[in-house]
Amino acid sequence: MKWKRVFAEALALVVLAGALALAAGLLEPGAKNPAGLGSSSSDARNLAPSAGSLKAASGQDERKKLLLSLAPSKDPSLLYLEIQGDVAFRLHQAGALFIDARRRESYLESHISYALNIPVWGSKAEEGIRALQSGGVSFDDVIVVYCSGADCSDSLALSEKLAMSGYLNLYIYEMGFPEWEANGWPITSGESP
Amino acid sequence: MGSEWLAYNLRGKPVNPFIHNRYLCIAIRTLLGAIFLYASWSKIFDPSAFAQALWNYKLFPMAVISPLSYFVPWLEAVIGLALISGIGRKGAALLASALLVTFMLAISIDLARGISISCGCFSSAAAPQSHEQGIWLMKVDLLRDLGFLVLAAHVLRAPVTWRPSSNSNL
Repeated sequence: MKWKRVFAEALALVVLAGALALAAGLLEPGAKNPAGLGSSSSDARNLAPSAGSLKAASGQDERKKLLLSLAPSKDPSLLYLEIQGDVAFRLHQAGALFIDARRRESYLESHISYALNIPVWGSKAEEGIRALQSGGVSFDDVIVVYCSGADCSDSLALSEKLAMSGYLNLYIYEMGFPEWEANGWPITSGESP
Repeated sequence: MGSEWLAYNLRGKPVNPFIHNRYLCIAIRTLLGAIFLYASWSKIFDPSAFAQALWNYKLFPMAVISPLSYFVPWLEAVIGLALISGIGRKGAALLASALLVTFMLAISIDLARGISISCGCFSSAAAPQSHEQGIWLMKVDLLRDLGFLVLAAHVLRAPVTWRPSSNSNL
């Protein structure tokens, strides 16, 4: 049957495409670490701000306790909880870790102050999550993930990845960067947090 | 004495010389190859955007999206080159058909579920402005892919050889 030749050709093309895709994935240039993680500071949490009333608070444990008290209570069986702008702002002021799930180009253009960037698509997500772990972010730290608003599912996807990696206190800022910017809350641009 | 080309399929039997006109066959597979090559181009250089398009289908599990976002564009490119060059064109046509059927199925499922998505077929451009516009574009994508499937089927059924007829009276 000559159809054997057709299937053999198809198989050969699939193998060739697979090899090219593997090579492209290995050769893809990309940030080894998301902005600020594991480079100038070994502790990612140092990148989060200390609000005025918290400057007197001492130690990472105190800050963690404060954040956990400010964060809405979350059913442990849920991977994450969606929060509104006012809660997100309170957590930001208290020094919670914010993660921008959008693509790097969007992050560099403008992002919430002190937010880290872990683009959810491509190989960078896994690299970013590993950098979080090596950067000293504990599994029970409060983490707020955001993207471009209610229609954007990137924060959802990244939160699932973070949850699968062991992070317990995940919150998704539902309205995301557009609402934050519209409210005139702290934003910045470029590489600097 | 002139000669007439006779077309023979995979089993060595003669086929319709009009539908399987040699130059028409070459034109169709070159066109289909160019379409696949064009479709792959932007996705090869931006796999993360294509990954997002795949995610938006809400059909694929998270674990397969990243590998697919690399593999599918390169598969399209290899299919395109095979069709244009003619080397392995039958296998390429078979793969093209399979890819097209898969995407048509995915679009159909999302249409049935009322989910408006961007196909991600030729680019990972921004989503349409309204839900109705998105649904309409999905139907257009479906019809377009059906057209491509017809072309792929033609390449698959096209003769593998053309031989001059020794009995021609021309």
